[in-house]
Amino acid sequence: MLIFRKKFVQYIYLGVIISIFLIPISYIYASLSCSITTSAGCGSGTVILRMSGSTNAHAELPSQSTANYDNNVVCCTGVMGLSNSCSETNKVTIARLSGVTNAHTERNTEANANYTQNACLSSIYTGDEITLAYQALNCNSYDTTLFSMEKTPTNSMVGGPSAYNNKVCAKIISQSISFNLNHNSVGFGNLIPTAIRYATNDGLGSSSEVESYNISVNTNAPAGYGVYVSGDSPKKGSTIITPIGGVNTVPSAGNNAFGIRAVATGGNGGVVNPYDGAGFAYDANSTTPTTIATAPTGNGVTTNYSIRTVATIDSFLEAGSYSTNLTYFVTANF
Amino acid sequence: MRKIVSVFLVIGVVIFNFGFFLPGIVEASSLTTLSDKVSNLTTGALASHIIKFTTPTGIASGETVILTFDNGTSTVGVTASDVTVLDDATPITVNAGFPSGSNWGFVNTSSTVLTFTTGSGTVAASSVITITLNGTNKITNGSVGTTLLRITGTLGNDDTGEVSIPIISNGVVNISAEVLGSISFTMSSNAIYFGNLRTTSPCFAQNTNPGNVACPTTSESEALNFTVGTNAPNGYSVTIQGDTLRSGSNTIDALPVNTASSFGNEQFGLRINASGGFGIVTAPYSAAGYAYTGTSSTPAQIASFTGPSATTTYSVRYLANISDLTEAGSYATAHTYVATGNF
Repeated sequence: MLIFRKKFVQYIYLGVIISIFLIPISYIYASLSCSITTSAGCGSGTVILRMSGSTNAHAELPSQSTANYDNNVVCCTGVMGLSNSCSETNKVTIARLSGVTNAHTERNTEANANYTQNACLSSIYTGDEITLAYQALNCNSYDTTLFSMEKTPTNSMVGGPSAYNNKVCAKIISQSISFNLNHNSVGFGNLIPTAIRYATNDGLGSSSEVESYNISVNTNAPAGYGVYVSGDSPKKGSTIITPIGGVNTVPSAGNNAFGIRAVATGGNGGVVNPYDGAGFAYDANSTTPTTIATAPTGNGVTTNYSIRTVATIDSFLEAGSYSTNLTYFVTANF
Repeated sequence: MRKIVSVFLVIGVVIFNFGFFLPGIVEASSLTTLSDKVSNLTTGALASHIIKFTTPTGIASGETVILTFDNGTSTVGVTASDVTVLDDATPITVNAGFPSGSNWGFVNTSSTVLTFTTGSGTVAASSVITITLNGTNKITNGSVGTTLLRITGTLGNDDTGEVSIPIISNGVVNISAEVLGSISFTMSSNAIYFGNLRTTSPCFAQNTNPGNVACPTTSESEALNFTVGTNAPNGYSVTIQGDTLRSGSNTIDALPVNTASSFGNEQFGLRINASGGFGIVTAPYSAAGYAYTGTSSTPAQIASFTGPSATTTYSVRYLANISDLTEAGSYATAHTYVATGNF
């Protein structure tokens, strides 16, 4: 009998271990999740409303600290950049309150004069899409139930998600991606066969390597991003300054050559070969882009890419004005 | 007894992990690993899209995959011929309208919505679907800000997903450069000499003065050379201007057409060989014989090219023959060479 009990316990452990490894992957993905807990228990979560009880309760704003509201706070987690600030650009009002504390609530669609305080669910990322709904019975199609209202649309007590049938529901599509290109026109000035030139944003060019322009990327995409560029080497009609190609090379004066290199700072993005060396490269054209940078994950920290552009010519490259358009784009992997 | 407990535990674990304990409830899943590679992020630009996502539950026959863009993005004009679909690496043919056989159907539902309906085939769970919109008709980007592409439909268990796309005011860098016009022109010698012309052999000029002796160079030899190179878009030409050999009013007859040397007859002419670059000798100076058509007032073109050219070296050979009747005297002339770039 004792042996059987030991085996039984072992089977239980085995089952738990198997369960952990076999948890369906959809359970792992983060989404907005809110629950009623204590103020201290919310930890790194975001309190979006404080209540005097789990049912038949008054409400107060997250900014308040009335002691008897500490045991029933609406605590939200699961989304990076979550906030309760009504000053954020990207926000929804979850309820209007009749005061900062000891308050009744009304829907955000109401406009009663004595409901002067707003409780908000917001994100520091403008790309997040925050959706709020007042639904009866359940919060189907939403990520979570924030709390429930004793009655609608106004003068309502509040309670936890199961307290009343009037549910306050929320969903956040938490995706942020920002991309910036700081200059749209750069130039080499006069190219000569006896020197190497670097493009500058004043159009005059430089004889020493300088930044031509920079691009910046910031995202929370779980699988990171790639930065790409497409476009021909500078050309005049059918005459083109020869692109250096896919091998990082230090060009020498007197040869037709056009290339770029990039230097990354900040965040976790990195320049990829062949654009990460001391020399230059360019292997894109107008129909086929090339990858110049990637990030393995989107960590919400901006990476700046300083792009340097080089050209040199031989003595017999046809005289005239050469130009091209390079199109930079980023693709986030959510 | 232990076997019975073991069996029940294993079954319990399987039931728990695969959700069999709620057979009547099927929840929608999230599509995973979503991306949309947009070829140009400039607001209002026409751009191609490569949309990828992984379906966690697969896609059954007759289910829909709906792409919905916001932020003012326009799908107007996009047709089935602009679309390609891959199930992992396997191409799926796309029909306009309803699906046919294993082909997917495609409908441009509205200015922001594209709808696909799967055909008779099924897509396995965990497959990567790639939808490429890169035909003649492109999608027009919306406003500056974040465009959200929603993927919905009846696929899987009404699975859904979203992709954010940053739209900016201008994602293009214009790069410009100037290449100034240049032309190079050199001459190897500014004085060439025949010595004493004679009737018994041809005489070719040389770049050293032999003194008062019979012409020392009786076989063709370079008298001088000149070089030309330019990046002029329309190339260059070289002309020569000056008389034939003259002594006062007496002259040695110039050859008006390319003519072989014939000593004992009065002849003055030149021929030119070109090497390097793209330059070419102009007729009648390019053939095996000799000619001279310039005068003191009229230049004659001797070489040219129609575009940029690396340096061409032109080797010039001068011929002078006299007859018994050629007046005695010292004959000379000055030939002016001019290279002109055509920028």
